[in-house]
Amino acid sequence: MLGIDTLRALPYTWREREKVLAAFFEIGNASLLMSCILSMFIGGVLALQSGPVLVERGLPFVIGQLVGLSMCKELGPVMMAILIAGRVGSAMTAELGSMRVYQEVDALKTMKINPIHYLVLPRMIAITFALPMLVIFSILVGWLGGGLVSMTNSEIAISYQNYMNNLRIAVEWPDLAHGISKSVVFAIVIGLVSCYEGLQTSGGPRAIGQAVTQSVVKSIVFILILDYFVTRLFIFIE
Amino acid sequence: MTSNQAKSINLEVTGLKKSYDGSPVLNGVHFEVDAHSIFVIMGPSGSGKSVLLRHLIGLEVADEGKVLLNNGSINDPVVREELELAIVFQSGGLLNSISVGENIGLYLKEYKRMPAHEVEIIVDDSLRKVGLSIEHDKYKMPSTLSGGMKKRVAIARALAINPQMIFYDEPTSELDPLSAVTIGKQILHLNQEFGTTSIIVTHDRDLAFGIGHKIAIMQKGKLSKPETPNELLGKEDEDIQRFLNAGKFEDYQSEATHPTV
Repeated sequence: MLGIDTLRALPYTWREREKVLAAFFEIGNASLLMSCILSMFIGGVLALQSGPVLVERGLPFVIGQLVGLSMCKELGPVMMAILIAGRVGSAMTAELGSMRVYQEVDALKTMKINPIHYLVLPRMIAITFALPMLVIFSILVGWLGGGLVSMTNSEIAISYQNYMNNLRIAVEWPDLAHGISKSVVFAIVIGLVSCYEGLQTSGGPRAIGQAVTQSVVKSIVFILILDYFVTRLFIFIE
Repeated sequence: MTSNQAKSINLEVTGLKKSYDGSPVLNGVHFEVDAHSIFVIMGPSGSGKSVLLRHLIGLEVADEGKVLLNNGSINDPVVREELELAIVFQSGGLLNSISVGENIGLYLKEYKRMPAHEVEIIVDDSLRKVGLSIEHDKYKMPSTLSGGMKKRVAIARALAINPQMIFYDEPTSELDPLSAVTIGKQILHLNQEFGTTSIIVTHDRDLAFGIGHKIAIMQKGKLSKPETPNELLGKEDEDIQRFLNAGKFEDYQSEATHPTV
């Protein structure tokens, strides 16, 4: 129902643009540095784990392809979605939950201000645009991390140029679109789950804590389940 | 009085029933509130006063019965859209993420879509009406305000709506006696000045008898017949008299002179 109400509220997006921009920058500010650090290490670990084995078997050119495709199609979108669910989704639930518990949502309703337009729509739009952008950063930084490890690790020791050339051969635009499309789906799920849990909160401060936990757990479960089905869909399309 | 008086509305509640998980909270509530009057609902904790108030403002839908405002149901979106109602919540219900001024102008900006400079004029006027300072209080965040200040800001926010009816949920709770009197006087002043129909849910006996035109007592989900303060004081109902006279100084004195432990 919340999803349908939010869809119905979409024509009001321009009217709520200030709140959308504020939420967008808040999500970006809160998460950009953390996503870059996380992605750098994910790319690095991927190269570190697979590199020596591939080099030993005479397949060093596969490292760039492996890191490139993994970051692009799977690790970038999924890891960023999980990070955002924990960092931004939890904050959304806590904020809306506290607004509900302390009668701020009721106050909006009595002033004939639709909470979906005022609270949910800006957050949904912001996260739907912010997460794919963070995923693009994550993919690029992850590739960089993989390249740095491949170049500096003595057991791998391939040049950065070599690594990037191999990566470019394997990764094509549709692969990038695959990752970004996944992140849009995940963003909608995180936004809906977080807003729903927040607006359903009733009781006191303890209920807010429980709502936040519920929101993060449900978001992660939905992300992982949907990841499988979206991947299947893309395999079918390809 | 201003032109608001003509807009003031009457309220009629018939056979209102509500249960939560099988436990009845409202048990067939009937009453009427005349336009321009101050109607007070008193009652012990847990008697269903706040639940009744949430039904009156349309935040909840009853299992049975009707809430009619000028003969239109509060749950009818068309009727709701036409009426200007305001509520002063027990906790104030102020949005903590925006300033006092923004809270007061929220309805005008978000619902009425008025230009910023017009909103500012009404916000300043509302602040003045409740005795708050434009220079000092307008830009404060709600979290920095005292309980009394929050209630005054909530009243100012209600006034900015230019309401036909204002609902007050425990307007003097958590306030010291002086602040409680100030808030009570403001409610009275607003009613006399603008003719706005006011419905107050309170425990505060002094407030109820001091400013209420009609008072009804809520007990176990039922509301007594609304009566004037003088009629109520002369009533011989034992439960009502016990509720109205409880908590006086002598009650504590008798316990203090005859300890049970």
